[in-house]
Amino acid sequence: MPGMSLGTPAVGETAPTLPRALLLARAWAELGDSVAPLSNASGRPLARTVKLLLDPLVLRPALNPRFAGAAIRREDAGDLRRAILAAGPELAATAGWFLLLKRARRRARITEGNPQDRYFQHCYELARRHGPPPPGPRAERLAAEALAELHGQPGGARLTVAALRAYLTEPARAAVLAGRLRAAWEREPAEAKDPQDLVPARLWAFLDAGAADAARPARRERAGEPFAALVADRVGSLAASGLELPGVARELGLTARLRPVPPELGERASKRSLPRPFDRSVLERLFAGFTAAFHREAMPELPILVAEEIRRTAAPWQLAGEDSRVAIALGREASAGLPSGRDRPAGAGGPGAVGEPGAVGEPGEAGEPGEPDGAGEIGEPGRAGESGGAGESGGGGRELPPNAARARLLARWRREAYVQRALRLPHPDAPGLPAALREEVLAVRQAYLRRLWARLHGRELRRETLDPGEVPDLLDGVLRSVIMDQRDRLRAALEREAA
Amino acid sequence: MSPALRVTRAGGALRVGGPPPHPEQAALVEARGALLAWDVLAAEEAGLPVAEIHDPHAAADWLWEIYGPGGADAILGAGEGTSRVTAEGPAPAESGVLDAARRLGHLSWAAAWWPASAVAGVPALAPALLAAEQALAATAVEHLLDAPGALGPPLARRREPQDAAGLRDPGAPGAAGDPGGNEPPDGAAGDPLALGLSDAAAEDPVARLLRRAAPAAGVLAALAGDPELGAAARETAERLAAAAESWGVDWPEPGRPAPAAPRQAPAAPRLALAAGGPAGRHVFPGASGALGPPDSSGTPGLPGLAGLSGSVPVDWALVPPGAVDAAAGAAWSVTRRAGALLVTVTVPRAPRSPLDPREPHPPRLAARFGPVEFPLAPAPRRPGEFTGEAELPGAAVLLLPPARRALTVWAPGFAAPGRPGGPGEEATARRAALLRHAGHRLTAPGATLAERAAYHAGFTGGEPR
Repeated sequence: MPGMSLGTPAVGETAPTLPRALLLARAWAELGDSVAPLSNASGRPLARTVKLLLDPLVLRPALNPRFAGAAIRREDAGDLRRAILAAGPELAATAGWFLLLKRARRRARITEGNPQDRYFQHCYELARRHGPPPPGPRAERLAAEALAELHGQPGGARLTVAALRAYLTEPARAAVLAGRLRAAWEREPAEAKDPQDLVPARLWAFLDAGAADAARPARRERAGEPFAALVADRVGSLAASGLELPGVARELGLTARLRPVPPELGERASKRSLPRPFDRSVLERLFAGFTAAFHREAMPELPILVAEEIRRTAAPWQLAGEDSRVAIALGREASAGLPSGRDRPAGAGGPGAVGEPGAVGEPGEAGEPGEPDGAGEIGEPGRAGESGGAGESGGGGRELPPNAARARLLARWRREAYVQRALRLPHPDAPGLPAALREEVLAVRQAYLRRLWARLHGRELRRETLDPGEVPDLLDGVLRSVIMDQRDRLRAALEREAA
Repeated sequence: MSPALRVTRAGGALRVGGPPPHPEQAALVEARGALLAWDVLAAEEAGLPVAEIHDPHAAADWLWEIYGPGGADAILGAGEGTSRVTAEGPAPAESGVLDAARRLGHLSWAAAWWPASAVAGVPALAPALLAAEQALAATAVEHLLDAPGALGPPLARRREPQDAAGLRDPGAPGAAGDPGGNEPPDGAAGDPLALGLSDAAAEDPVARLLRRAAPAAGVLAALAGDPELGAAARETAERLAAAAESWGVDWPEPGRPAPAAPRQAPAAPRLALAAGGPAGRHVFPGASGALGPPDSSGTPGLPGLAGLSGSVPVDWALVPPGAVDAAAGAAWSVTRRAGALLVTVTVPRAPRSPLDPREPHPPRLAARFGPVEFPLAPAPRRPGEFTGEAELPGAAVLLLPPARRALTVWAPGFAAPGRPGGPGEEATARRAALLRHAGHRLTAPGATLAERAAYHAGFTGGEPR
């Protein structure tokens, strides 16, 4: 399959635009075997080749808007091809370095991280600086140095859970830190209320943008300005008003308490039993960040981390950046259609049971007794968003019609019942399933917001900015992650069941 | 020859083709922004899947690989409501991705629904080989698989610490008294997902499949010397090791011995398969019994109570994969012992692949007969069967309307028992077709390694070993 011919124009290529990936695939094929290490088994550039090399380093859509988006105008197709071909030598050299680094990795018995993620851009730098790997020991040495640099984890050596625990529990320091924690919560400014109740509408407008022409590639590129406006107007912080009222944060799954209270400094943390986000101790919050060993090098020193975290716990949404707060406010609004456990009679449920009409298993096989799994019917796409989430919409208490983002999340969730049946996973309603798992499956919205919060928190720890263009993918990716986690747990429950 | 496809756009979502196939016959691929589904029972030449596109923006990247550039354009440009578009599919030279996607779908169907049955002569597939082939098929379509929004952090997107919303605390104590720091972080091996941290490596679909495929290394090593399958096994092993290296997944080293030596397979059943195939066999006896089918309305004669018996098909949807023989029914009989009326239920276990290195735990099964529910367990002297018995509250049970005393077998913790009466006609017909389909696959030209190996090894039934 590698080296598959891509030169023949297919039928129907008379449209004014062409899929960008098609043009990339064809130009890529022209580069031939020299870039095979950066290709997948079909001979296409690997997803990460596009994401980490072609986009940011070769095509650079920010500088070349005509190379952005999923469709390219026919008149720009030639230039795009030439841009790829011009980068051919560098890409071939990058591929050579990648092979070398993989070999050195094997020799060093390094198993951490995805080599594509970790080495691609570094290999490109090596290719820029040295050209193709020189013959002989010099290349091996450079590769070994690169590995040492990439896996050296300067942050890893200083930021350990043991060091964190020792720092937080040293009695004299703990007293000081506890005082700061109190002060932060007392100082907590009464966030300005949203006087005109505009917040839900603004979030809604952002989430609905691009619905009309969702097929067209503009969505990602257009997200920047409106997002910046939401950040500038502190819409995320405004949307946090009310979280301190009884039951509000609990409804969102962010705390198990009636209302959030200042966290403990904490003495221990276990990945098995992390409490809900607002209930986590300072230790537990940072512990979660430390477990992603890969990213620790981006973190500052312990005292700074702890001080930041203490302040963060008292901030709106218990997040430090306004961009994070806007993102979780968007997530709250977008997830409003997902089942949240409470609004459901016991026993009914599982994915697909959201909106009654058109849900999986509803129509079709009424004449088939004893066949609980229904026909192959995925929830009617047009109905997505019409039901569920009636209780709460964006925190403003005002009812808004479903928006595009909410419909997308709901469509993914509805589909899941069908996918789970096709994968022959345990039915979430099976009587023998652990109650905690069932609760998790039924309260998807809470699981969603918890995971979104954890991701945003992790980003802040790692000093990553939130690219507005990524927000739609972030909101969708969190639900995917929750769903994949559910599947893993259902599968594990099945194995436990057998044991 | 360009097939015309129905495209329905409603509320931002797009559906290509008709409704998706029944879950039991669906070959799924979860692509970015869309779910692709092939019907495994559909005619071979059709080739194009139905699609449920929930994010056209994301799907626009790869839709041309499946429906061809013109088809993709027509689908994405379809107006509100239902329209028909011509999808020529990819040009033959560019159809490798379509074929690989379909193969991936088929493998995921087989992992869930392959109807292994000694009764029907369909041997079990080795789960490890299926997982290995799934992972390899995924490496050919990794650019269109559903993946976390961001695949790894581009290097140039860190904000400077002082930029972090003014969080830097000038009064923070210095690092003077910082203890330790040299121990390995005790949480570093934790699952980042459990903590909600975005870790692209942990969520990558190819890496997930590769991790699940690790037991295949031993199975493939054991097959490497096979005169018929050795070449394919060696090639598969090499490609897996290379993929594991590219995705950073721990992979057993080639020299390492297999986790468990596969058992020797008996050769005889293979002849039976080759001779007749499952199609010619007695598949799905359906409901039958001394009293006639349970849905016959005849009243049982009371004097002959002891010795009443019957059988019903087991509903596939109520038991996990690989639990019970897909074609054999659950048999029940009523006997009188020491004045009590007992119902005994027997279900044959599914055959296992002789290449399966794991000794699986038997699934937990239960039966319901009329008002009584009771567990089924591997029979003491016949481990190839599940059996269980329970005392009936009285002969009146046998006078209940057939639908209310029908036997249901299910796996608690997997499904709820559902309504009595067993699978209906539609399900029975579909499952018979799936059994035939599986029989054909074993010798089909495009058979997977798992299918070829199963055919090669024959089936061993659920006999004690």
